[in-house]
Amino acid sequence: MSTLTSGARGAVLTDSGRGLLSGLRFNARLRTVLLSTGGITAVGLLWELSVRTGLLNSDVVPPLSATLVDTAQLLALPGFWATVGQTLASAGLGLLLAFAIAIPFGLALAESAWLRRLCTASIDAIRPIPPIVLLPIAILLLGGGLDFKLSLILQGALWPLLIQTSYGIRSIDPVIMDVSRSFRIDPLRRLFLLRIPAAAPVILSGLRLAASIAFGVSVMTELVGGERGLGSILSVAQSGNNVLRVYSITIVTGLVGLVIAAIFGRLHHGLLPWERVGR
Amino acid sequence: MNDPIVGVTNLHKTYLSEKGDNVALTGVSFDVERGEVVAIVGPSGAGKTTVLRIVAGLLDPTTGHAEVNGSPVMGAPPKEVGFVFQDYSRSLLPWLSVMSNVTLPLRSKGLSKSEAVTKAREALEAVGLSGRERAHPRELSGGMQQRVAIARAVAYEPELLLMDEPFASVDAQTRMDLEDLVLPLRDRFGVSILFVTHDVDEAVYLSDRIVVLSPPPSVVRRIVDVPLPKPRDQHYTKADPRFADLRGEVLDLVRATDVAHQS
Repeated sequence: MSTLTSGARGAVLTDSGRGLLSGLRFNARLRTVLLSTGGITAVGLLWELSVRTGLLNSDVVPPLSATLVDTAQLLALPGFWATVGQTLASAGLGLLLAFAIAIPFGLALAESAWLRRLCTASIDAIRPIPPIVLLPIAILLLGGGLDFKLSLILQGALWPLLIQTSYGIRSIDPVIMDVSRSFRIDPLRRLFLLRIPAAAPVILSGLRLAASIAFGVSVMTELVGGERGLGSILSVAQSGNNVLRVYSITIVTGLVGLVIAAIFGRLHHGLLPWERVGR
Repeated sequence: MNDPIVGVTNLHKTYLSEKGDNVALTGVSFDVERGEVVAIVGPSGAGKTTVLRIVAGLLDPTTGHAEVNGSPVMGAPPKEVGFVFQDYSRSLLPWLSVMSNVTLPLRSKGLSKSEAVTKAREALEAVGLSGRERAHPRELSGGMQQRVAIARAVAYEPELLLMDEPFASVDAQTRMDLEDLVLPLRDRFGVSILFVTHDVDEAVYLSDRIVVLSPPPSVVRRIVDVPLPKPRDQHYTKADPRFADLRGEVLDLVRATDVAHQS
């Protein structure tokens, strides 16, 4: 039935044809890989050709080939990875902070209808404010530095994680809570062996979302707020009118974001093996 | 007749909802004696599970009360009760091994790890699952998962085992196996059993007495004694003419909608 195995999209297609077994499944997987590679290649070619034929202005859009050469040079630059590290470190720290706040607070919100009523209105009012809108106030209050960065990352990453945690705990199958009550499971075991594992899939999807947001906001604080990292070298490239470099940094930033999403996607499978086993 | 393990007195339960109130029980009373196996049957919607959940302390009655071991069940599950839920795929914790599923309530009760493991092994052995302690629930068949749920309840050393349609989600063969598994548990672990089923054959086969509920708003239509010899046997018990008579009697009671309110 639920073949959510191995993360292979293609597998879903062959699910009903169980009799045809792994040959077809492998084929479907290979086809997925080929198709997506083909798609990327097509877009790349389109980019290259549009610039080469003059359809796109090469002052604004450099050819892909030249961009890739520059990207390679960028990656080889001494100190480049340290710059990536700066962006990632503050994003990671912000995410950790968001996690440390969201888990206990989310649990408390799920437990107490009273607390939910008290907080919901304020949370709903603050939550939708995009971090970039808060940037001027944050600069005013905090001036800059790590505090400034972290506060904006928190604004982006905390709320989705908090809401998912609270929702995840509240949407636990009532049968599990019946088991907990009828066997008089003590509060500590109930929390760590029942509630948190039961809510883990929902919490982890919040974490995945929060991780991507934390990275994005981290880059933003560097780009607009002047903190050091990927965003700051992007801003330097832009003001120096180094178009090629702007594209290279953008590509690398995109790839790093992709890797983060992939890692947290894997985390889901790695931490929750019971989610994968079919019946 | 004195000192029953379960005493249910004049239970009323009304479920309130926006679409209108739903009266499930209007005065249900019966006892379960120590060592007895009692089935609750009735047409669908007859509040069978409601009665069981009230006895388990998982649900409060609107009026009336349930007693377990002489103490009223007040808002919290009594410590004498082990519960087997209908849907094993939801009641077992998929992130814990079979062993941990069984030891969790024991550890929570304050048993040491080694005591808990010893009791869990014994219970798993009793349900025929020795050697599967380290498996995870979803690696097992449905019947085996329900055995784990039964082992979990039995290892808890309850005086009263409550089961809510425990064999409804398994195939016919497995169902018979599980039925034959449960009766010896009564003698081995000295428990009384109160269970809900929609299967009249199963009720007659397993029980000493059968509480037949009327359609909702439910009352006890009749309590039927089952004086069939023990131990029960899938072949001989079911071939016994008295089995057929009782089965017919209970079936008529369950299906007779026209005499709904005369109890």
